[in-house]
Amino acid sequence: MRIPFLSLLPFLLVATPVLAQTPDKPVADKPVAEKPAKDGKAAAVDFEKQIWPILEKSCIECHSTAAPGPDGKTKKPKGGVVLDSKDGITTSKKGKLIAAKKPDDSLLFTSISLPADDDDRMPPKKKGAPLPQDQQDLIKKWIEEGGSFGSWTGKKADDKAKDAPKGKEAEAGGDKGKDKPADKPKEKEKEAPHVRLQKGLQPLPAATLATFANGPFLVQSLGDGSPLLRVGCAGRSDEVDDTALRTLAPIASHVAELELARSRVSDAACETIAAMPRLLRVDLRQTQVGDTGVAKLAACKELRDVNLFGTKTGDYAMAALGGLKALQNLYVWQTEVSAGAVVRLREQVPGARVVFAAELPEPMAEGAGGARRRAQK
Amino acid sequence: MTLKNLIRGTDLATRRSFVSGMAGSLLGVGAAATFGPRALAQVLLQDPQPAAQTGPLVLGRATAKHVIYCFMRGGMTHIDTFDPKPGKITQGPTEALSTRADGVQIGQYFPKLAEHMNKVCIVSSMSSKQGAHPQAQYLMRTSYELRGTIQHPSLGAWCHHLGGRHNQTLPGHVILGGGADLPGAGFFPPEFQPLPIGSAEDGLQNASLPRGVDEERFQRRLQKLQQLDQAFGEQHGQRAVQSYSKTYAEAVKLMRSSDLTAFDLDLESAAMHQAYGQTGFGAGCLLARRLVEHGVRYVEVVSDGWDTHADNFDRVGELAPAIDQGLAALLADLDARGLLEQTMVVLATEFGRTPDIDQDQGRNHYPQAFSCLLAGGGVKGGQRYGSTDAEGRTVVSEPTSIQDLNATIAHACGIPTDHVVTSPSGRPFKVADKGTPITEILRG
Repeated sequence: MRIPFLSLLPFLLVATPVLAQTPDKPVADKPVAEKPAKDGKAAAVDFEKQIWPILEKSCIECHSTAAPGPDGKTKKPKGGVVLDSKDGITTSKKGKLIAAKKPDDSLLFTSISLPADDDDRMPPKKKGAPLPQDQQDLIKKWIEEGGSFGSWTGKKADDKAKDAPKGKEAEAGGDKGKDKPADKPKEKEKEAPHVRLQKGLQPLPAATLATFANGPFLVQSLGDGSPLLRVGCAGRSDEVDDTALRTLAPIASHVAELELARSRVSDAACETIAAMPRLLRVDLRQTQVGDTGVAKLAACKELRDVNLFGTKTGDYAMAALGGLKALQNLYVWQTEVSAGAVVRLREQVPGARVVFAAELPEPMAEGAGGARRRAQK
Repeated sequence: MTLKNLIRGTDLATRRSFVSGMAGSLLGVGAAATFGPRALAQVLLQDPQPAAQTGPLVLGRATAKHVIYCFMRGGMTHIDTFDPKPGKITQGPTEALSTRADGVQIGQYFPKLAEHMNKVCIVSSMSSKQGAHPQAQYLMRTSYELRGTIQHPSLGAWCHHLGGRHNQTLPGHVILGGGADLPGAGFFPPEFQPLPIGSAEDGLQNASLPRGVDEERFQRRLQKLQQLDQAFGEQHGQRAVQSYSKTYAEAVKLMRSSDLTAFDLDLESAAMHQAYGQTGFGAGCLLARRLVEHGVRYVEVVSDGWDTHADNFDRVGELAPAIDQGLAALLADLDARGLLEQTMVVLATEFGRTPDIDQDQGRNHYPQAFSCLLAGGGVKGGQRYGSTDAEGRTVVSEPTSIQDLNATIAHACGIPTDHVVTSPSGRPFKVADKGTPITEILRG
């Protein structure tokens, strides 16, 4: 159980950013934030020293990561806006809290700069007066300068560091241990991998994407306007073979998710896939790919999820996939992979969950719940 | 009556009756008729303008590409299923069962599902004000109250419409095991009506050419249809008419597609049938898994009969095993195929049942507190979200409205919950009304 967040404020103020990432960085003794930036040419605004103290003082009472409050109830962030972590500020479902260099498109700035009587103004009327003009200016300037967080990552990273040693058991084939509530293997990354990979990546020109309009592939943004792409072929998987897959070459640098389930691709297709440096997830379920092809996927160093269910993959490929250090989920049910190879892979990539069997329930007892009996064995 | 019988037995084998029967079976166009003539008229008389959208739609990053929504129709008792209160007077004869998730107990009727509770989040703090079946089912599926003047689209239709289809050949939204009378496309164009399949075991009916009609003859019939439709379509360029023609074309595309096998449960092994349990619900879950494998976005499986006013405990004992078996198999099977990470499995009901047991050993309607389940598709499993008091009477923490639950599902599907769609009558609607997604139970 976490300690109520507010009571931790003085501690967090000093300690969080330091504990989270940069143990050797000098501790900020007191907030320098209230000091307005006097001229535009001054040194860049430092989030940790100048912006965070403003947020901490005026915003995070309502906009902090959900945590159990003093009454035992979980306190949800208002409006789903979380301002006490970098993740929270950069990935809000509410919209763009900060748009680099565009304060007027940044909710964080627009909502504090609304007139005092506006219903959407933050902090809300009942919570207090608008932020002083110098603080508003400082936030505006910080966004204009690109909205960099420096080394600050905030509360979440700190929490995760604490939670990190939680169970990461790879469960498959009747491993019936009790699972910790709400645990998720491998969540130590400070930002979601797609966020890191899309940084600085220019979206592909619309004309390039338009060339796929009538082909068998469905090419879409990963969501939230990301330049990264999800490519699927459901519904036209019959038309997708090794040759068709080569047409993806012009967008290979942007493909983050590739769904080729039940298509006609084979080992040769894996060469095309191996040239996708930002690939996070590949679904080759029920295709003809086998050992030689799958082994080539080891070139995609970012791969998290690899679905090889119902393919001809065997132990040779498993050995190659052992080099994918970011691997989180690997599905090899109904393949030629041996139990020994699964064990070896789990040793090579300790965080990976390798699923090679289904924990299907025993058949129903005779007559239970009015079961209708059909073709019995 | 199937179309084949119709054609064989009478001289009514006209082009139109064949094609409309086929389109009806394949894509649910005919389902409009199940709403009665008034509803059909409403669909046809709608403004020719498609529902206007305000602001560009930017889909969020979806953790759930697919949804399998199991609906326990009639009002599932919460105390006997997923919110047990061991040792309390309201518990009755039901015993609580420990599960694979630490500290999460469920009712004794779900021993197989208990083994998979590490994948499931129980939302125990559901609460609403609607205690009548049709109204509550409508609210659960649409997030809006039943009104005489408008038909709201169901959550599945929203996901289909705004999120699009993953597989352009198969329908975007299928509803299995009854429930064709539940709200579907609402004020969206008819093409967003879910495809109803009464019996999952029978699969899709009328999907092959009738006896005596070969491909060439079928082509001629389609051409004739097009000729006739062309003049009408030019004169009456209504959205509903276009939507209907589009539906016919899609039905024909599906008939010729290899994806048609998605509907055929005979392709599954006997062992797989047994694992899902040879029940209507089990077959529904198995078919849902097949459809999701082929890229269908939103599949609903309906289990009726949860309105246990009398003999609640015996009735739940009869109803639960099919759900226990089907859902346990579905979660295990999806997981092993690598599909659970991207498929949200929901178990929902319209309301709970009274904590007090009446003289008929029954429990009655109780919207004040009930439970729903969420699993997969980015849901953090192995936990209980929110709680009721010691006797299961009122929600004491994290009160969750029906709109909040629907917003959570929509959010996981990447559908922005603040995106406004204007109905043909000019009124603004959102996917889950004023609901807020429970982001704490979702992975970022």
